[in-house]
Amino acid sequence: MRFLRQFPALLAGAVLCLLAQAVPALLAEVLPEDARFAVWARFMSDGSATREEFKLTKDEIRAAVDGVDDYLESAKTGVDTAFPKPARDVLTPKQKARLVLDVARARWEVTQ
Amino acid sequence: MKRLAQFLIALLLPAQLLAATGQTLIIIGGQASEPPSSNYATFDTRNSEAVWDFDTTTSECLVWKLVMPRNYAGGGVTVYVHAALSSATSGTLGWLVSFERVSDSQQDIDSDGFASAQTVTAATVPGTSGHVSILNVAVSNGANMDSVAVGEAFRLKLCRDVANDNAAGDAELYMVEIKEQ
Repeated sequence: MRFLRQFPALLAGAVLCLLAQAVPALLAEVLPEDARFAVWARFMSDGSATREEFKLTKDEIRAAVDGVDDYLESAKTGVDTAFPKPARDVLTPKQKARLVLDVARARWEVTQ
Repeated sequence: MKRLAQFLIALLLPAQLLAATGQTLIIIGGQASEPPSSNYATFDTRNSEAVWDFDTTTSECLVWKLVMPRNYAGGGVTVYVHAALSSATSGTLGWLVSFERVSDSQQDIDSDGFASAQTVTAATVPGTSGHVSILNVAVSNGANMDSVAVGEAFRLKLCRDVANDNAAGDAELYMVEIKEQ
């Protein structure tokens, strides 16, 4: 259950890194190593700042980052089709990603 | 009369009993440290207690400038590192400890001269975040201590051994003790 609450933060980190690359697709391409590293380091740093407990090693958290990014890569077409028209055609990739993040944050009550 | 008796007793006692063998030489907290120019641990508080955060992906360090106490008998020392974890309740924590002798005309302080780092073997962290673990490394006298002698200034560098530990998140340094073996 705790991991479910932390999952949106991982998702948000991965999506934000994808956006930072400014690739003009909904969820861009799979993150390069340095971007995955940045998501991983920031996720642990954020957890340290709030003293949120992890019963996971840093290797296990890194595997979670890789898993989420791989999932986004495999699911990006499906996420795009989840947007009904006209939103699918009108929203920019960055706006779509922001909406995905907003929904995920609300679903798992992520405040940071 | 009492002082005369104490003086005579001191004369008769073996030198080892007056030396620090097996005794604490130095106790330090992070507040007394000098941060290195980069990758330094950062100040934090936990329940209003000062702690120093060591990152889990970048090896961060603190450095202390110290003088080897006059009761040091010249043996090896054991360095004890007291630290908690910010968020990890599983995995391991490890440290690296280095000495740099700054004795009379021995070290140009324009540059670093630390001896090889001594490894505090990574060990399992407490199952409760906020509990402090005490890890240690025995450092033999001589080269591993950069030959620090009694009364000499030296620097102690402490870095998190991020390449060999796997606890997620920051390690929070609480205290460091140096004890003569």
